[in-house]
Amino acid sequence: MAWTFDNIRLFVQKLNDTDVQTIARLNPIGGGTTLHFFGWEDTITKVGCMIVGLDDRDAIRSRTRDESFYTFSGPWGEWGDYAIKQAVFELANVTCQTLRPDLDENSPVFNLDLELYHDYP
Amino acid sequence: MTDKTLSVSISGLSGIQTVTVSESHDASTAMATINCHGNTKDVGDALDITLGYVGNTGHVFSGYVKKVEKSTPDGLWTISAYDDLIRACDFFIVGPGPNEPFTYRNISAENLIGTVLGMAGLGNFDFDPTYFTFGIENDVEVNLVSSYDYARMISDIIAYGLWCDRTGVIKLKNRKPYPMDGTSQQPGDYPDTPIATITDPIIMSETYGWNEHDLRNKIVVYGEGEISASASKATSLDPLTGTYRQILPAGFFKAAVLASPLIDNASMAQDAAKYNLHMLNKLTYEIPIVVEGNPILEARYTVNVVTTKGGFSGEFYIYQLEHIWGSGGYTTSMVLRM
Repeated sequence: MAWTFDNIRLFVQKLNDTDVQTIARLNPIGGGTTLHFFGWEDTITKVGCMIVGLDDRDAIRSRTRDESFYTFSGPWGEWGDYAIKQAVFELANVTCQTLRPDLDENSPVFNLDLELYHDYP
Repeated sequence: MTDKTLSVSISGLSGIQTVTVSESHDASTAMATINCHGNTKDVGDALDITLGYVGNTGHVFSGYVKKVEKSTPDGLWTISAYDDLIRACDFFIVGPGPNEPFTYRNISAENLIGTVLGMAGLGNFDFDPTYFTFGIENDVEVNLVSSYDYARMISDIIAYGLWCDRTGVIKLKNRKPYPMDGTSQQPGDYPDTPIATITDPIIMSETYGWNEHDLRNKIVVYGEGEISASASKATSLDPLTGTYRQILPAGFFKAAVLASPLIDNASMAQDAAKYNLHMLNKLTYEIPIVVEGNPILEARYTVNVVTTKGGFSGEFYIYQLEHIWGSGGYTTSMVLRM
């Protein structure tokens, strides 16, 4: 099963999750550090991938403005529902693409960096 | 020190980001400010705050919501609340007419304070007997003044403290702004019992100093008509040694004046002068200090401080206090006095 974001085909190159716990460090004048655990941040997922075609670029772009969560799926099933915090498109130096045989060979290819926020119940 | 997990509970609020609770010997009310993501509280609702650590929390505030704000884009609610005495601050006493005040005769200070606070709907009192009686020679007249301002004026005359505690009980006590040892021979002077011991492993920062800012070695009281009294002393108390010494330049007097038509006999004027001189004619040792948060710490109580780093120790009065709870940890910031 291929990587998709709301059924938009992604060619994922790398994926990383960031988990952060909020911990205050208190340093008294006599003694070692004391930690105060405050809570944690929900996982932030960053995806480095490629997409092909202006339609998919516009589809991703439109999902940065609709305040909604979408299903992110990959080879191991559904990753979860995510909102796009940030999408950075970079036009790749490709003149003849073969990633998407269903599209024209001269379709533009974009390197795309996505920052995704998970929708936890 | 042991690492701890922060805990807070405020009914009606969720996603709590920060909590600040401020108390002060001199302030009319305690104040709480909460930032949170979820809010069902409205202006006028009761609000109670319990905070601390998982397994060790304490009730630090009880009062009423006075202001609700929501900020965008961060979606944070800011809730501001004050303790019950805010009702007395907000209640303006208005008699039947501008020249028709409420009048009282032969009324004790505690009953007079209870009466004006009662006008504001307050009735949960814990008052010590004051042995001051007003309206002996002339009527006590109350009109066109806020309930708190009037009650505070009475408590200032008799050098008592007036405040609302964390359970909503309004107290009128002989509460001086320094540790009391029960030796003044004034009514209500009971020795303090420290509520906690502050040591280096929980002190984040401290500053030790002393000043004569609040020192007054002469008190002048003006009452009704020609009634007046004064009390003064050339030397002032150094609470560190417990002895009187020359603090202000010889022959120099810093005076405070109490003036009120409520003082209608010479004996009351003299007592007011004597009580206030005893309270004010002293050097103040003052320590702004930040410690690891502890919900048991409360203004108007005393703590024992034992610090080798700071170079001072002893029993100190919590003059001001602020519990600060949030992602930066839980700390209690205090101004201690001796």
